[in-house]
Amino acid sequence: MLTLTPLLLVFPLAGFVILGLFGRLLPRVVVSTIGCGVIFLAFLVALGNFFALGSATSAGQMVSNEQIQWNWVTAGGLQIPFGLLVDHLSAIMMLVVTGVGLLIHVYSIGYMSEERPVAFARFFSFMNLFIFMMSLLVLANTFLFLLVGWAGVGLASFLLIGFWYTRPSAVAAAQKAFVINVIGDFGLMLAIFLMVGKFNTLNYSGTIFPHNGAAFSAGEMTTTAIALLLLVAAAAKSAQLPLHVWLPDAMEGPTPVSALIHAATMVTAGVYLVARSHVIFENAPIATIVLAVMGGASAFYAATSALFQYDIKRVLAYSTMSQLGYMFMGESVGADSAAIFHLMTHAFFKALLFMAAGGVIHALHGEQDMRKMGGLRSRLPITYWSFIVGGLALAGIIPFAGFWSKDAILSAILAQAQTQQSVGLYVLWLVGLVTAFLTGLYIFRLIFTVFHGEPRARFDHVHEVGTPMTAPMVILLVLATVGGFIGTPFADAFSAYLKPATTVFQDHLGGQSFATEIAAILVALAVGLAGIALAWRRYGRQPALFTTNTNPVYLLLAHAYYLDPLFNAAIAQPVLMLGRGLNTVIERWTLDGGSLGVAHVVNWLSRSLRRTETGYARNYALAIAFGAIVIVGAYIVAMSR
Amino acid sequence: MAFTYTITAGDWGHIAPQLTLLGVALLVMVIDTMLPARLRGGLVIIALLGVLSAAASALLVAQLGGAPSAFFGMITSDGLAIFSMLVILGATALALLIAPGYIERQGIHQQGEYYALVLLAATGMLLMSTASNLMMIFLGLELLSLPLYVLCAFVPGQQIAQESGMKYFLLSSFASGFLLYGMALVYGATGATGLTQIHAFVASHMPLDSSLAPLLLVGVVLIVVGLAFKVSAIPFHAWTPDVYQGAPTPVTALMSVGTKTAALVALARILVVALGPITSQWQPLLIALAILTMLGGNLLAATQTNVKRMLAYSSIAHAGYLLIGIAVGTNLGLAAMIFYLAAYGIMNIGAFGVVQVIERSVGFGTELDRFRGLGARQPWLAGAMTVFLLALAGIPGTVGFVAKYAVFSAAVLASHPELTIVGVIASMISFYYYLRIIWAMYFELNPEGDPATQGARAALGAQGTPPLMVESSGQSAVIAAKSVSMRQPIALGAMLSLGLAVLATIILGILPGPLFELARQAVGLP
Repeated sequence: MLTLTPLLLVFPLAGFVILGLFGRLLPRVVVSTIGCGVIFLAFLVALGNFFALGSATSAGQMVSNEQIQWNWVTAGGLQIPFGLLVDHLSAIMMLVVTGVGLLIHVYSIGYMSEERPVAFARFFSFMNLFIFMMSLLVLANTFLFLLVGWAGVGLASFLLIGFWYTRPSAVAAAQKAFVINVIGDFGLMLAIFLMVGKFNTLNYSGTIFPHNGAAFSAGEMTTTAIALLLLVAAAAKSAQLPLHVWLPDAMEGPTPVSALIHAATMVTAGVYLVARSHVIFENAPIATIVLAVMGGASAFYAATSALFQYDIKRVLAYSTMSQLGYMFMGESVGADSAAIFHLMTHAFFKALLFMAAGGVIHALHGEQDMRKMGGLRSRLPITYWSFIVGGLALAGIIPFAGFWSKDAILSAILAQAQTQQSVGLYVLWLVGLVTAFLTGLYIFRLIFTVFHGEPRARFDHVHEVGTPMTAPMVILLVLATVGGFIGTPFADAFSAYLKPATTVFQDHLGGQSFATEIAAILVALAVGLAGIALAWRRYGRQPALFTTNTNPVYLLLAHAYYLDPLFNAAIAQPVLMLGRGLNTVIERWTLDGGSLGVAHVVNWLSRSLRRTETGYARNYALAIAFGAIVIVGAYIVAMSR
Repeated sequence: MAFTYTITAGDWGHIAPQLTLLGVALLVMVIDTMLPARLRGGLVIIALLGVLSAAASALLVAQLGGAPSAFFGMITSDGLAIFSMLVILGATALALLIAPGYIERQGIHQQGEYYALVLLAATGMLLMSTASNLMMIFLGLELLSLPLYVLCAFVPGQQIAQESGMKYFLLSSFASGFLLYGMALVYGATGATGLTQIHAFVASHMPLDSSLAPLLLVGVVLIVVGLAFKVSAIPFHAWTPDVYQGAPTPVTALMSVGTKTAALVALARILVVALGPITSQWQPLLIALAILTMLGGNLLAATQTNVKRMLAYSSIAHAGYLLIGIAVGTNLGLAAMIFYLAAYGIMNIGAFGVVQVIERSVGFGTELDRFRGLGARQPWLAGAMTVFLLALAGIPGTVGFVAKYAVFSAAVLASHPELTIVGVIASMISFYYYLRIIWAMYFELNPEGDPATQGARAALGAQGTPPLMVESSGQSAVIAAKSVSMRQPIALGAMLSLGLAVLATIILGILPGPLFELARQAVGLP
């Protein structure tokens, strides 16, 4: 079964190539069949891999099934092979990528149905390109090809955010996302350079697998530098402070894109990277502290920023950033399996929420402003219930999927705090709790204002979306409800499966007593419910919700702490000024001047030489004879000396 | 001298590829007389089949192995011969594929003669690249030249075509004189015409004494002059642009690859194989030729305005890169050279293939203007041209880059970094004119044949706005609609040929390993 792994790359790539080259010629039904079909086939392979691996027994026993190994570059002592690695971590990731990816592809058939045929084909070819690049990122067995996938998903994200390229805001958002993603790519690149220097290989089997900490001496400078650079990459890709600013703007893309790339899969690549290279973080305590601070601050920052947004998708974008913060918090205490578990459940419920938001937007003919919605409950029942289930899962309410995974992270933090007697970790746990409270608040503010109360604007033909859109929603609704049961504290099948791929194994209880665990669960549950209750009190009944407000705290939160203008003034503008200056001095005066000078010289030489093109055969013959005479003469002179 | 050599069946086997081509050429001529005019287009298929079976027999010869020498050491079928035969046959096949649509447009009715002559020229090229005797080399050279003289002047009623054929004939005969005189002197010095015997003689007379050296070296120099003419190395290049421009484009494509391959392989056999012991004597000459050719070819190409002529100069420049492979005097250099020949064959025939689609009458209608806006009118054709031009320029990801890399690294490994440095500088100059065509295809508009565009150009041009602005000023729909009617039809064969060449250019650019391995084996490297 595992030998079929290369097909995980081949199928989406084939879809991209076929649709990219010939999509415009094909009828819509063929385009959607190919677009979804290749992902379905890939999903079957991923499913096969998942079961074929089975569960292994002991921790840190890295199962390395390198499926193809092919030497790409040999340069001096450095060998860079191309290979695919199927272990328990990549198997789960591929299942999420292709599974949720498939559902979103199917959803897109309905959502994008009003596009022109050419745009429709372009959309599916880009989506397939994304799945291909994401699969490469996950399956690569060297950091180099991870980087290829890493940059490739950034490209696909750029293309899809800017999909409606006639909208200036979409183009600006795409550029912003790309620029910040490239900062991350650059961090990863620098980390890779350091790894080449340190290990002289980029294979996982030579960098992070066999060492298991042995070759690292804890706290070594290079290791810390590598870990911090990896964090830069992870922060940019997973929208963590301070490289998060692109994610809210990225909502300019079509909603399926937001669901697939900016919620379920691409933004989790940072989480995957940290989990994959965990050995490095274990030996870089400073980087681990940075990781914890980054995760906690992002979770809290994003949850507060989500509180007063008007755009339905921006709320979800901040929510995604906040949940990714949770995953990084979990990883900072070594709870990799909990983080990956949350990654999976989050993919379920956040994709569901985005699909439901897409349903609302679709029904309201492109309207995204919550101030114009309201009272949609009876007109969009399936969408409403999707939002309720997704919201409950997001807020961490028992028994929905998000509850189990969020609890796994929080209890792991608490357990570590108790073991290490660390005040910092207690604070991190508290931040997690406060964020859980805020999560319940902002998501149910959204639900109540959109679906309850009276309609605040007139829309004609508001109707539930069609089957291609509802079917994936229903499947995800089920998954968001029951998906958490594979990782309960009572029977943690998820952690057990992931055990071989995690270096430090934390089971669900994290070594603490069962009573503490139950207490922690209850506290987390209570704050989530409190958030929902506050939302109901504040937004559940009143129709007039969006009065203008001059409270400074409100303004600060509604503008996401003014970080965008701040970054613009503090970084973008100075860089632009520097760029303009350099453009004049170096580019125009020095380089252009210099290269134009060279061009003039070449031009002049060429024109002078062209005079030899007389067109007379006698001249040409003379040149031959003359050339021969000169050469023979030179030889005779040389010999006579 | 009593001559007692009995020809065996094995001898005939060694020249099976040449015999096959010869036979098919005769067959084409015979069938041509029997076919009604409307069916004569089918002759190209027979010719193609002939080329394929010749290639198959070449592979068979390689498979059978045995002694590589035949006909009393006149002919060899070693790895170098097999590899270069395959390059020549591949080039011939691609050139045949692009021919039918073109010769129909140019009003060439004698299709049978055309294909027969192409096959005969290819026969000569094969013979020259398998020759291991000075006489056979000369015979091959003449056998390939004679049909080419006729083919160059093949388009009826065109002065430029007559001029092309005539110039080629006159100058080629002139250069053959040098070659033959050089061969006579070498024979006089060594008493042999067989390359193996020459090698043995020279090796046993090292170091050369003063009675032998002048005779031998002047002979070698004159041989180099004669072959450098065929390779179109500077200063023996002047005929190239005039002849290339006036010849039918498929013939130009074949000439630029096939003749170069045959001549370079012969030169390599004479210098590196037979005269290896006196490498230090001929090396400075070859280095000088390579440097002059690389720089001069690219400099001359830079200001050409006719794309066909520009490609002619580009082929001169590539001859310079190819000469590096011989000049370094190592087997690795030879491997790099024949790899370069294969790569150059693919990308150059591809480029000429696009040119023949654009060309109106022979030698005309290939000005840069005709390429303006091609990207919008015929995106596939422009895309193919872009691939070929980038490959010719040596952009990574194409076979052209790998070929340049192979040649340059061979030079560095043989401690001749100056060749690499000059080569890189020359390549930089070449970017200018290759990219200018790409720029014209995608960023400029065709100035002719479209009143709307011309009016807009005139209006905007008066205000000094670049023509590019016309595209974005809302008239693009009008222009696009007009430009559809300016599309050049692409014949099926040309489409196939261009498609194959694009694929090969890219695939061999990403995965050059197997082919390069073959090239190394062909020259006997482990």
